Amino acid sequence: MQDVCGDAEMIALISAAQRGDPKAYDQLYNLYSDKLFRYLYLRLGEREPAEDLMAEVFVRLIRMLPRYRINSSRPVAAFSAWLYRIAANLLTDHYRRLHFRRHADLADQGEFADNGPSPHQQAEAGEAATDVWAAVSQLGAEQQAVVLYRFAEQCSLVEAADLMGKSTGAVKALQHRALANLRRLLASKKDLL
Amino acid sequence: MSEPLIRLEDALAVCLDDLVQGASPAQSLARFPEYAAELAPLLQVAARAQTQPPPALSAGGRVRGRERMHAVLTQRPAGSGWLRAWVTGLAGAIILLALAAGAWLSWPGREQHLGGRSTAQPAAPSLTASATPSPTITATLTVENSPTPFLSPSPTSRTAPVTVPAAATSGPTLSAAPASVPMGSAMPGEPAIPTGTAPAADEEPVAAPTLQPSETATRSPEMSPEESGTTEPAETREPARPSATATPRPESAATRSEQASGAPAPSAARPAEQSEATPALGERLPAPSAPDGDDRATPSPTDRPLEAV
Repeated sequence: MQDVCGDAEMIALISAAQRGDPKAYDQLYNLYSDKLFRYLYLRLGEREPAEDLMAEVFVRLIRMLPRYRINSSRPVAAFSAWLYRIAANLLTDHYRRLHFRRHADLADQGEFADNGPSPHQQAEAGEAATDVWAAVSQLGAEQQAVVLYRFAEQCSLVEAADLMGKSTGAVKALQHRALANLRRLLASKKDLL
Repeated sequence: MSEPLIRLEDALAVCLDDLVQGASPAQSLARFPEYAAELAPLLQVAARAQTQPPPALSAGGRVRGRERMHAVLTQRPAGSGWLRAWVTGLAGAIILLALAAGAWLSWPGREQHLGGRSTAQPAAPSLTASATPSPTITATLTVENSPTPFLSPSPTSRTAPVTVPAAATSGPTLSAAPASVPMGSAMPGEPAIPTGTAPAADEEPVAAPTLQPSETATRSPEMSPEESGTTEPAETREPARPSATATPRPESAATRSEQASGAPAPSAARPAEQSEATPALGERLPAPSAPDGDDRATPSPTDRPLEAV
């Protein structure tokens, strides 16, 4: 995973943040704000709510970090996975508030989205029909995550498995299905044009 | 044709790792010629995903998120969260305990509750009057006070001879048989007599030479209102009025004493049927019991049951 400090630095950073050091929180924000935004943007398909939820992730981080236990064996992966779980929980709350069941069902099933994209997503897809990330946002939650981790965050297979809490074999199968669905989506958009 | 040594998913994972390392799709496909037809479109999609920049956070969104985080940080006081939680919880528990203790100490029925209802309810003191009809009536009043668990641990008794001149008891007869009249109440403002020291018969009597039944015969001298604890309303003590059939005379000592004290006329002037309805002297009346928790009732001065003789 790129742009993430080493294990010892991460332990020191988390410890300083747990003591309430604002600079430590700033560093954590610089490290994870873009990643969390991408994750949320792919799930939501809209920029503004994704930015709001990203800020809310750090608000929850401030509240929950004093009770966080540092994993000394793999502090970076564990902390990153913890942050993504916070973001996923916020997404669930967001869907619940909006009664927006489509993405919630996708998150439960983790399968390809058979339902059509939202109007905003259709507009974005029309503007850039070949935009691979607009197509990724129509994948299921787990497939979105594996594409994001593997191709945007440049994670290795093991790192992606750590972040998703899955085995490497499951991640291999998942990325295979994700790429196949992504290819199908992109091909259909080309046909539409 | 032999079985492939590696699965398609594993071959794709290896090719994707090569892409991440900077290899081209053609180079990766060359490693797995048996899957080339299946891997080629997947690797093209993966290469597009790698080359196209992912959606990035806008500058405004980044600033807004940082400001919001700092706003929460400034609202949050420094210190360990668990320590503050413990201190807050402990302070809350102490406050609750203090409130509960204060409410318990200020509860009026606390003493009765502490000693149990059966033991805390003090037995009513009994008054025994014995009189012999003669030209001068000598009555001996014995007031026995039962022990109460909190106020006087030992029983006390008080005996006082009362002599009534025969002239004060004009009338056909004086039916003053020995009686034991339970006492149900103590009057407020009653002068306290030391308990447990009954004077001898030849000593100066405590009561007035002329019998003042409205005071001496109905009150427990030792009991203060707080001590009795079993006061009850006047209507419930009314049957405890002993029977006394005496012809009322304005000059009688009892009447004079009542007039002097401002009390209303005793029930000696009541009709006969009312006097007969009341229990006669010598009957043991049941001790009146106060309602639960009603230990603050104060009888009125007109509720003194024993009538003048």
